[in-house]
Amino acid sequence: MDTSRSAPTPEEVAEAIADAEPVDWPACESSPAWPAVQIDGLRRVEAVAAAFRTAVAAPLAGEGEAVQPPPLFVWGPLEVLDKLGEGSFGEVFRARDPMLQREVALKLHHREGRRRLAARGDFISEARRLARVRHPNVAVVHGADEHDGRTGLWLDLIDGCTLTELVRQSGPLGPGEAAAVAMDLCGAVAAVHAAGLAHADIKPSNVMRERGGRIVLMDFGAGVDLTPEVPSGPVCGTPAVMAPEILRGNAPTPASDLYSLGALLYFLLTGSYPVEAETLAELMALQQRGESVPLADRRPDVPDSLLKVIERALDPAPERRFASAGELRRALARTANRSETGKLPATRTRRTGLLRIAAAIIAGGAGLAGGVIALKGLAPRPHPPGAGGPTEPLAIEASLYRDGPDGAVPLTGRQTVRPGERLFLTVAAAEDVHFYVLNEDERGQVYVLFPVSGLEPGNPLPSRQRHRLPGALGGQSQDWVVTSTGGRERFLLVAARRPLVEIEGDLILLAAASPTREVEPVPGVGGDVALRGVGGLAASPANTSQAQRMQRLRHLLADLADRGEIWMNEVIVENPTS
Amino acid sequence: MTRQPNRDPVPPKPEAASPPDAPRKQSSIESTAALLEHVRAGDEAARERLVRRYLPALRRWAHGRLPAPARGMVDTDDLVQVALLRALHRVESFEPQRAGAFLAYLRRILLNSIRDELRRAARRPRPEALPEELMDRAPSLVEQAIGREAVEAYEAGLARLPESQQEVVILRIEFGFTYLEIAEAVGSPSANAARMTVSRALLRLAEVMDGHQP
Repeated sequence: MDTSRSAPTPEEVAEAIADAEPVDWPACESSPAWPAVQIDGLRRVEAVAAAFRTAVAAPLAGEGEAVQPPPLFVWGPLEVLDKLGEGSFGEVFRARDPMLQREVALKLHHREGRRRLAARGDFISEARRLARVRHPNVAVVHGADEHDGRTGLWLDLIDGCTLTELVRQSGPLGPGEAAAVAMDLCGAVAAVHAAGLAHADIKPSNVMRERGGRIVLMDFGAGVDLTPEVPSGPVCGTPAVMAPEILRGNAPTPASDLYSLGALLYFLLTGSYPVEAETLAELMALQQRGESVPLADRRPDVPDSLLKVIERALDPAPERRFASAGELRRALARTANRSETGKLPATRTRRTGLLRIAAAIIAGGAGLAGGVIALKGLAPRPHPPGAGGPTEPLAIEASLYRDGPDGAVPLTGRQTVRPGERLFLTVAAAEDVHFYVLNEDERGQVYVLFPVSGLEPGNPLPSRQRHRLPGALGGQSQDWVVTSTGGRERFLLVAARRPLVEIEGDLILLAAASPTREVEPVPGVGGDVALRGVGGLAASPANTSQAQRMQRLRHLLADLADRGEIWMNEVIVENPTS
Repeated sequence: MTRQPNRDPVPPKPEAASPPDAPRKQSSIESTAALLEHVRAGDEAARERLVRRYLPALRRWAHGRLPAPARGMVDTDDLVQVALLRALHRVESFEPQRAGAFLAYLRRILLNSIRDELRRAARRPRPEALPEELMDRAPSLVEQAIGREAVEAYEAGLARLPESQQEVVILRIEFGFTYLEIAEAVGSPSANAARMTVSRALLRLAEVMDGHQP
């Protein structure tokens, strides 16, 4: 037996089956973690999937392959489906790569402007620049070519909106969310710089937020090589986010990118730019005189620490800005930590810090009749320009219960839970809500307890009913089962009028309660489906990326709570190891 | 590890016009949902577009589900079109929340249509007609591959899954949709989320397929 080969997890096997990839069955069979019955079941599913694939893939006489409408036109290897946008350089299309059977974004250069841009090797060098950068927050380029007299490059098709649209549609972001976006961008920009490039056109309309929350830096049309021997050509960009030295004609540098990041952050918080003018000459004059609108005037609720970071990024003197994107990121992270530990300036008293909610629940637990947590008064923050009008706070009643032989006991935050015990939550709302339940133990292990795929009800929870979560499977109510000790357990409850797309991207990366997962039977517990039980049996160190993700989630949620967009609460129980 | 954000989240909001310089996805679930809306309102052109969108995938699917002797006799295209039109006629009373639900519904109608059509074809006084029993017993391409029992076990297992999981299994395994298409059809936040949903549904299917509930 090959002991060096580790068996795939059930999820990996299921994914391989779904993708028609080979499964390492011998490794599964020789692993004690795999019950024979599960292997049999999955092999049956694999056979069915293969049968369909063969039978259905067999082409029909006279049938075209296209499942989608016919293309507008064909450009080289791509079928161009529809136009997504247009810019000064050319057009952006949604296109299909029939060989790889995936959709891509195709940037096609204007035919008439070709000579001008070809002189700068524009599109192709953009592709080469992009191809040199590998980072989760930078759009992946798939190819570049010239066909029918048009140069173009194709890259990831991002399903989402630009930061400009985001701010125009939903209003400026809260400080925590803005900082989180900027931190992701700092990572992307650091990767760009590490590849020996300056982006030179960092602006809100060049950054997309994918559905699910991933931030993606796009568009290297203006990027320049930092290698000194390559002369940089005329620089394109959007003046309001461009560093003063660029407007004066200097070549873009990492420092000028950091200025743009600062201006972008300013925009995320206010919907406008630090220096705005009608003409380029006026803009330069205002910049030279240092006449920018202080961020604190537009957003008095931004913490001092964050104000200082943005001011430094926007310093007219490049040498006084942060030394690198990494340093800016670190400074932003420090402001995030500061607000998380509650050391907030007086202007931020409106923030409903998670830790403080938790403390209030513990301290005031006795006052919460029957464990009902009915927190109705999250004050909406004063709405900055561009934001929508104030909204009524959500009215939610939520109680966490431990189900036992003596009936259900409400958990108000002082009790102890132990492995084998079942928990459930009741929720009632005055309107339809999207509900989320997260659980974090002392080691930083985070689980998504709700929503759970396959259980009813799912989101949104209909109004004016008392729902028992996690829900029912085939008509039978399910509970969460405590499968491991975790020290102090935090249950974070969140409700919103809309699906929280901004946190869902993180949620899918966290372990979820699972009705499909086998858990170790705990003596004295009946045969209900155990829902919580992913790992956590041994005291392993906390997963750092999970902890970071959770921290990010907390920031996003705190900002949403700031804006009165969500209802949020936290219950803490003890789940001691002995 | 297992994870699943939300079974039916993110009804995509209609968004402002695309920016000039940023590639973005024009979500086709919006258009499917919008198309269904138009069909409901009696828009013939929308009906035509919807048929055109799903006909190829459904034809391929039906091809795999038809018994071999019937494939030469029954016009798959007709069969699928009739089923589509039947489904669209009922679209007024049945309001699928997602494109995925609509497709799962279509598949049910198609399976019924195939059965009806086979019986009719067997009774038809044509030289190539086969006795009804023979037609009934003749395996489809899928059955040829794994046997009738396995297909029946699959159908039974599928019926035990919640509808949302049925949809993703059908879309991925039977219709061969990409994850992006599935995400759009079931309103999942991303292709990755759809991938996760599919693999969880398959895990669940593996558990219930041979008839035992865990």
